[in-house]
Amino acid sequence: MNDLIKIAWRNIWRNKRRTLLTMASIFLAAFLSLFTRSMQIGSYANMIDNAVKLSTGYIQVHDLGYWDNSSIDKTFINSDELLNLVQNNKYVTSVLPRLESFALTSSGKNTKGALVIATDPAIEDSINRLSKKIIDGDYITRTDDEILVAEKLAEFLHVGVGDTLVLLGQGYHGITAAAQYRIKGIFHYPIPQMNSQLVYMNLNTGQDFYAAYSRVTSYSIMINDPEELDNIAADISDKIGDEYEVMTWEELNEEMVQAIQSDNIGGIIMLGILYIVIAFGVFGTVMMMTMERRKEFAIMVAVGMQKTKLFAIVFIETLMIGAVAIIISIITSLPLLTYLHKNPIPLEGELKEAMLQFGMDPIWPFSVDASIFTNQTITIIFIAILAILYPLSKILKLDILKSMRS
Amino acid sequence: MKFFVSIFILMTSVIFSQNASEIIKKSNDNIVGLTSQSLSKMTIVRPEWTREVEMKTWSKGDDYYLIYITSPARDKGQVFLKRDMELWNWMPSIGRMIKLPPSMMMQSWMGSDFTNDDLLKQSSMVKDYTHKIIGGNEIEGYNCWIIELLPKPDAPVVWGKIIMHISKKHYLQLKVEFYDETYEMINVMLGSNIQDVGDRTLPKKLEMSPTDKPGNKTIFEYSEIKFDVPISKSFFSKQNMKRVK
Amino acid sequence: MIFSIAWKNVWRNKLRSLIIILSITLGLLGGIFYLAFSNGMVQQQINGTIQTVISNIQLHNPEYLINNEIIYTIKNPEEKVKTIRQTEGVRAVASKLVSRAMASSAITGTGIVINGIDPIDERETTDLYSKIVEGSYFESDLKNPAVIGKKLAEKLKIKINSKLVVTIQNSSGDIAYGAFRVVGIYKTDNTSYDQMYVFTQKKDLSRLIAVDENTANEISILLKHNDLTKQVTDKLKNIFSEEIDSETLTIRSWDEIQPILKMLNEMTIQFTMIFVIIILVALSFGIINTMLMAVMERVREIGMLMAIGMNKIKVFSMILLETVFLSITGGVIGLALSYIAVEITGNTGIDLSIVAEGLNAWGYSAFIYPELDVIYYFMIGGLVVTTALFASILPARKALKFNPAEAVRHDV
Repeated sequence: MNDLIKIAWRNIWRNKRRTLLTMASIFLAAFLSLFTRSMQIGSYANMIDNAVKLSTGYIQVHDLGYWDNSSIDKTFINSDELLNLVQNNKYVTSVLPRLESFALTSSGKNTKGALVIATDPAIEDSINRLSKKIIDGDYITRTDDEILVAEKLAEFLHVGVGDTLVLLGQGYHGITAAAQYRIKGIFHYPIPQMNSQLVYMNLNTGQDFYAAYSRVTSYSIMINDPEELDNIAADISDKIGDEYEVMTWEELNEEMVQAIQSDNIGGIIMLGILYIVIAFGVFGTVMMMTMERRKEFAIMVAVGMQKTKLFAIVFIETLMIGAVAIIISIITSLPLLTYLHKNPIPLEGELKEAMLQFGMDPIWPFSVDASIFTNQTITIIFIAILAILYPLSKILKLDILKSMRS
Repeated sequence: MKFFVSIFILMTSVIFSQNASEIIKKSNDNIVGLTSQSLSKMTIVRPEWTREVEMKTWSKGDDYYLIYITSPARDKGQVFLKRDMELWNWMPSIGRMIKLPPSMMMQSWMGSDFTNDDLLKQSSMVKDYTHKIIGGNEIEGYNCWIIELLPKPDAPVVWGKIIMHISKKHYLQLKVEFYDETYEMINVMLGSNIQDVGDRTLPKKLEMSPTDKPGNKTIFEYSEIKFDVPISKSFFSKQNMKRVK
Repeated sequence: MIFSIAWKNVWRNKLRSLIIILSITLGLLGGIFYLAFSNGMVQQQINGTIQTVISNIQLHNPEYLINNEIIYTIKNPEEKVKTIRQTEGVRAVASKLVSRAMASSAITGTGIVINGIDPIDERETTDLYSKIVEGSYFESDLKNPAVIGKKLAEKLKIKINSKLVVTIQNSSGDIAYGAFRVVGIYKTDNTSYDQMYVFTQKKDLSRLIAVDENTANEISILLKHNDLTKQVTDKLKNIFSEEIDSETLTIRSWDEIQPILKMLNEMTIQFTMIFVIIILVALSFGIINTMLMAVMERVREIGMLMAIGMNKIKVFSMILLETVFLSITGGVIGLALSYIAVEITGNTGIDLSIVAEGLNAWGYSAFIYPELDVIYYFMIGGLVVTTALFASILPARKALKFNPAEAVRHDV
């Protein structure tokens, strides 16, 4: 075996041009598939991140049964102790306590149903940059007793900054919730349905309004490593016990999961097509290499080398070249992809406008997730082996006399 | 001979069905009266908690009534007014009068098992249904008719069927079962604590339980009820909502 | 002369030529098929939304778009419908009465958008009638018929012939109750639409909310072709300019009504274009590799040709021409195969039903029918041939650098 490796190693250096060409073809295959997959995964991650920030957060904690029957009665006490338990996970970056419920908003003769979100303004802002969405007036602070109203809702009610808005709903255990608040700011929410029904207020204000003192309907949890999602959720669930339900965004937003999965199908088809094209590139290169070396192989067999041994030598040769090519492609693509991960390609034109309108970052981000590198490396090795098997099998069927004369 | 028998059967069934409608009407009139004035307590029972709401109520026929909440403190002073097909809510804490829009109609009223919609379109039992006596039984010592109410085709009511148990004496609604269109029971209402109230006899306690939510119910108990005290139409006005106590 | 030498060279090493032709064919097939696939997916969604939900153009009272209240109606709707019908490019027009309402059954109640339509006009403008899964599209003798979505039927737990109680605000601001009979249940690819949109006859709805039967707050227009949208919108804006100026009418095209459709379209185009570029890079590298090898392999032969007097330009053009022949051959085969593949799958469709639930939620269909304009075939075909040409420059230049004397002595 050692001998075979030695011979293979010498062969590699004997004809540098041939080695380089083979290496280049495998390098390109690996590089392009890494690039494509990184781009795909990056754009999904970005899609998820955008959507999660605008809606549920990565993980939510509720009172058990809230998800099936989201009533204001299914709330839990927002204690420091509980908050600490949830925060005490290295992946958790922020925990947002929210009290959400429906209420009727009314001004003058106009009334309309609204979704009232009572929240911590600072944490809310750090997650979905709500303060940047203010189009008139100012953002609320932790001590404010004023509210923020979504653009289309304000338009419908004919109210503006400084006006008072009446909120009317049902509080904790059926208590009447009725109050009027001054409007501090109007915001544009990127999701159209939400833009016509959202009202934001301070958590304390909301708890007073709904008579749900120190209570919240949910903790929205942001994390820094979406790959660890399930582990983090399980860990939090273990710590806080079964009086609560802990749900990931995948459970909270099944339609989005399916939408991403179906989009991923397009991505996989795309990747599959790319694999076929690059596999063929490798196949072509190796095929011609083998044909070129027919004479050489014939001589070796003539002087007594077994065909199977010869096959093994050439196979090892190609594997070595392939390994080097893949390593080089990782070394070269890593800095490029890291750069594109940190400095995503900005989008231009109509697409940029459209994405901004929906509150998405108009960027084309790349992912440097470790799994991309392992998966693509394995796939490319597999493809390379498949692509070289046929050309190399020609060795086993070598006709010495014919080949010597070629 | 056969001919006469069938005529006879036909006639009795007509008489019976007229009777059934009349029973419902009498029973309804018994509860509603020309006008009424009452003090009552509503208890909302949930598996984890209960809550009591006390109120004063004035009504005139089916079309007008006014509810003034007296307790708990946080809700005190709130007034609901039904006037024909409008439902108004006066909130003294914020000094606002709100007309409840269609989108609020399916919301629960004061946290109970009743919706705002139930308040607004009460008692179409007479007009919107056909009535038929289907049997009899005994509840709380009262002999009852069992009457089946089927909605008329165009009637805007959600129930597929209502079964009422009405006592032959005093026309008391002792048990009312509400069914959906597949005749599956959705709600059941029980009347109890039967007492004389002035010129009539009424169950002073009404209990409403949704069948699919065990442990949930809403109980109404009247502590005082007066009928046919003259109340003018103008009493049921938006201006009066702010004054009434 | 060069032509015939190049052509002969192409067929001298059949294996090598076959590899290049095949890789071009594959590249083309992959690129075009993917383009057709994603284009089909987006077009299907846009067309589906236009045909079933929004039509190409809609007219409203601008106040209605803000308040959604039934009192904000369109002036003289009948006259407008007549005028629009006579406009060139218009296939069908329907006027509607649209309002928010609550629908309830014994089980529960939920918010809906109730549409009062004329079933005959509506059949011509939207294809909802073809999405009926149970019952019929207003072919019933029942009074107050209604057609509802499957999702709503499930939510309210109601069936065909069930009663649907509608709570709605009438024209004088009072609450009105109406009882409708479910005569048909439809299912589109969009579940949230199925839960929200209820259809009734205009005459029944107008009676319930106490308005004249000819009242309308929406006029929707289906065009003969979606490409006419801008032209017809402009024309109508011109015709009704007076009312638009006095802010009693607004005319919007589908991309203004549903901007997210446009965004999805743009996004898909960009993503696909990037992919096509990646494929071309992969392809060109394969060609460079193969041609480079072809040149290196023929060092002695090329040296000989140069020694017997063939000049450098001729050698260069010979190699270039070889590539052109190869890529044209591959191109023609590739285009033909792509066309066949797209036509076949475009008819049979590609079933993605494993994830159909998610697709439906976004308004996509579970079956994807790839489609592509002929112009794209030429575009991609041109791109591939150009790429092949550029890819052959490097090997051809390599050949120029040979020293004939050395090259002839060269041993492979």
